[in-house]
Amino acid sequence: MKKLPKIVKIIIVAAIWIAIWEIVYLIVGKELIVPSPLQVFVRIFTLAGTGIFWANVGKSLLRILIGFLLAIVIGVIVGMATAKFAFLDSFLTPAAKVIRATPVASFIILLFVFAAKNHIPVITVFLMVLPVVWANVYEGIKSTDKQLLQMAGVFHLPSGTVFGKIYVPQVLPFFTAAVKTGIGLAWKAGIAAEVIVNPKYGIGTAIHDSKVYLETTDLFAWTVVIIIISMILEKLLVRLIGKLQKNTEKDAA
Amino acid sequence: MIRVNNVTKKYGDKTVLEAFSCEFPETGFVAVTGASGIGKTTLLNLILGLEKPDAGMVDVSSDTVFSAVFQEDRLLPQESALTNAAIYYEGKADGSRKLYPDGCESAKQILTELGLEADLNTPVRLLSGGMARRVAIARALVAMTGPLAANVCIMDEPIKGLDVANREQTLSVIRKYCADKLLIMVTHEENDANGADYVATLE
Repeated sequence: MKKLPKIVKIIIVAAIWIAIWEIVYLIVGKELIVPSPLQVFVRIFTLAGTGIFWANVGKSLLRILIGFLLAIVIGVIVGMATAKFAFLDSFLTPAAKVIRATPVASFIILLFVFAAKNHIPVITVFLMVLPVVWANVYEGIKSTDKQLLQMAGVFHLPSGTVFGKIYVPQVLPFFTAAVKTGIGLAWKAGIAAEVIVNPKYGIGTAIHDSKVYLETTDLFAWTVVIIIISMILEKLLVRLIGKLQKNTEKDAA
Repeated sequence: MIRVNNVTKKYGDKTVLEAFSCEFPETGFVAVTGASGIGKTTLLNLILGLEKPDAGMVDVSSDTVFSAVFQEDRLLPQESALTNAAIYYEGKADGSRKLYPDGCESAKQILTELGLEADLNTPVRLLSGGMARRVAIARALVAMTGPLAANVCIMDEPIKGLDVANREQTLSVIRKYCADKLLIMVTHEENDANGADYVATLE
């Protein structure tokens, strides 16, 4: 198994899981409870041929990405600020703890009072991803090599150099971990919000409809679509960060 | 002018320096020797302002500009040898003239003199321990050159870990770039103190 190319390994593992799914389908014997993998994949292709599929995917993607990117930007700023100023850390940490401890469903219901239907998934995603980015950036900054910072002080390095050449390389692994965790969370929270608030278009709305009309094959098909998009997004984002890191190194060389 | 007045420094219960005083000359090569754990590195850190004394004070005149080789290399691992060596001049300017290109020229020259001409663009994380040490020395020496040149170079066992062939060459490069300035060098090796204008032994 070790000597096989990565793609072959992935295909073999995927095939084994699909086989297990097929076995469960055969054991259960009721499509309403567990549809077969073939039915689900055929349904995905059927759905992909319709305009409404792309409207649902597009709207969900847009909402989740907006919430996610906002959380990244604000999370980086707050992470940097709390790492720098102890009083801000003491002041804001309880808020982060409350956000982390609050069930996503509570947020969604609470947001019904304050926000428009279409904005609730965006805000939910933002609130779920923010503490993850914030905590990781904070940790990254706090674990920055103090000896390098002392060196920068002795040589009077400008703050831009200290930021770009000392902090960024040391925080980047923490940031990458936050992006990986955050994108998965964003999908789960965003789709859950859509299921509850039912906007006109959205994967969550489609899942809600599948449940209401007992279309289990559709439910499975949409779930597979979510997993695929989430995995693609995670890969793209990690690759993008890797590229940014390489460009920074190239510029510096 | 650097003057250490009656300084005491403790780490927990352990007193490393007690009522210690000394004054350094304006220029020259001062070798600081003494047994391990006697407080040589602590003394350098106090002079550089990286640590605060528990009692007494360290007077450093306002026109003092430091350059340093620390006990550890303290290099930017992802950056090239050249970028690390020239870092002192990054972002610095003399009026409207950016000094980084000159810093790079100076860094190339010094790295070449230290035998690293083939590795100017190699990221430091890929260099051997001895090569990285020479990059750290080059960084300190680049800061001793140019329009914003430092006037005091503090080196904590700079040639530790270098092979015999490189030691003499490196020491002569250090002495060359620190001529007419103050070089304070901590060393364990008596030979490295040869040629020093002053030898201060901590006891």
